[in-house]
Amino acid sequence: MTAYIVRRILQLAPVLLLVSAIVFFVFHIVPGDVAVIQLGEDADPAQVKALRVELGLDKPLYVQYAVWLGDALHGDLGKSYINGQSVVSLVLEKFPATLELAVLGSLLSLCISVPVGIISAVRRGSWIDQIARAVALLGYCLPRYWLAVLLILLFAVKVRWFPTAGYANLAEQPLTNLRYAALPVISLAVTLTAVQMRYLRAGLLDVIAQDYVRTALAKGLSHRTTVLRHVLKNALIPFITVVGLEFANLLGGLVVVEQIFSWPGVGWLMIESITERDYAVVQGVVLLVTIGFVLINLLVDIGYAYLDPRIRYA
Amino acid sequence: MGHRLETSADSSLSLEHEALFEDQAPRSLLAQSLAALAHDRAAMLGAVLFLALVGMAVLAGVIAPYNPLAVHPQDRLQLPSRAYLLGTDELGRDLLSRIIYGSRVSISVGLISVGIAASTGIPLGLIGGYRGGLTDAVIMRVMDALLAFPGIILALAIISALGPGLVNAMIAIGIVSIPGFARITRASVLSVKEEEFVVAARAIGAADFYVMFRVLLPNCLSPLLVKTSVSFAGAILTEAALAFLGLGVPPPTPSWGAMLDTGRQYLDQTPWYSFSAGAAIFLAVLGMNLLGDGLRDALDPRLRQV
Repeated sequence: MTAYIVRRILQLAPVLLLVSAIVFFVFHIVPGDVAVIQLGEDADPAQVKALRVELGLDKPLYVQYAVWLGDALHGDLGKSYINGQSVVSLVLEKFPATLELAVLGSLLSLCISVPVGIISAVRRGSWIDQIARAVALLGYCLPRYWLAVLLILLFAVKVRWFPTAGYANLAEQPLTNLRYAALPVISLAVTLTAVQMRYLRAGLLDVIAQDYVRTALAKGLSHRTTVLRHVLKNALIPFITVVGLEFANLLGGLVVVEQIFSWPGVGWLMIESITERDYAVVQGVVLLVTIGFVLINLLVDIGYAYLDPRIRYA
Repeated sequence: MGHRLETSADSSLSLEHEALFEDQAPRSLLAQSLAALAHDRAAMLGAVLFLALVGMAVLAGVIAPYNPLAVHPQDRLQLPSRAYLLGTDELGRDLLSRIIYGSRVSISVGLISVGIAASTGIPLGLIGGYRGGLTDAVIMRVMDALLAFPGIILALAIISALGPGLVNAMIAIGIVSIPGFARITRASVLSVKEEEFVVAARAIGAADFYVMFRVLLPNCLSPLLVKTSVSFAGAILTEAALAFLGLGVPPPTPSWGAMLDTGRQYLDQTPWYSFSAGAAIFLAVLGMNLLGDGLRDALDPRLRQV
């Protein structure tokens, strides 16, 4: 197992290095001079020149990259052009709000997808299965932003059960926070449920067709015991991977949802920074979110290998 | 045992039967796949939705009841009526006409961004898979790095660097989709590269370029066709998300994502505004996904049951 983990981490190093290079160079094709953007169009050319030297923009690009990478490795991703706050602290400040939506959305979807997925697979072809599959397909194709707007229309404009948008601190006002979180969480959970259900059903059907399941039934085990003890255990391994990967995907998928519900998370920070042309923050968010995404993927892989020894030796 | 004997006798009979009719041209893989596709109701629904989308984009000038940019200040935020079938927006523009013209943005984003992705990703996958070694390692590590980004985050990074707008959105979505095409092409190349017909082509002295594009590529088309339809749906979805965030087509050009966003402000006055724009995106994406699923089943003989 240790050898597997070490191998996976070693494979990750070049990918992360390339990711950092892509992030750096994408933000160096920005039209216009960062110093001019920071000081304004009418700034004194001498001041602009001084700032360019201060920011290291007069040096060759590869030197700038090396300096930037060195700083990044020490946890310094620069400062916001707008308020001078450190990019890392800005992202860390917004991260709990994003994490809250991701965790609640994943939990809600699991509460629905697991029981419905099992029933759908065990009663394959029944009306429950057919309805579940149709709903899953619709949920899968439903654009999340449209669903969010429909939820607002229904639950905030028509029946006024929940507020249209906003945020309250979870630690200080937990109940108000949950009221604000309800609609964004539901809009995340619908798509997640659809994906999870499709995978769980397919995984279960795969396992149900295996010889050892027939053996279990032939030796007289009840349907219930067979499904719970033999089928589910084996089908859950790939399912956990999907849940983990979808959780990682949420880091990106939350951008639009946070914007719609004015939820001050990392995605919201990113869009605000793009609008204000605060490139240092956008660059930092892209790098940190991507590192987070890669690390969650790594954890999922390791978890998968832990649960299924065949992966380790493949 | 007896049963098994019968089966083998059956199969030898059917072989003889086939031999008798060997003059008769066998149905091509394409014909078989199309027949399988025609039997798949979900895929047909997908095809109908896709054709409706294309028809709307091509015939927008003929079927739209109004000029999508024509402002009718006296008819602002109207609910659906006989004059305006889906109602009007905050400037009194006809929503149906704007939805119809909006399909042009979606179709062009789909075509151009998938075009960028396919025309870059497919050659990269072909070269990597065929050459192997260091070339392959370099190409695939770069593709892995691009895949390491959550898709929308990379698109947003590129947009924020290039600036908002339709062309930049197409470029961003195209770049994000390149690694998918490269990986699928490479995987298909690896699976057929050692086949006899490829070895034969090389043995008769065919140039690498010929082998890659004329021998290997035609054998990778099935998964690429499926990938294209799914990427097309993804491109429409991402463009709408970018427009929704205010980073797509600038006004007054009608775009579904931007309409969905603006309509949010008028949900209590005319819910149709946001609803119809979202429904258009949903139906387009549903159509492409159904078609993609159907194509995958029809093109894979193992999944085909005709």
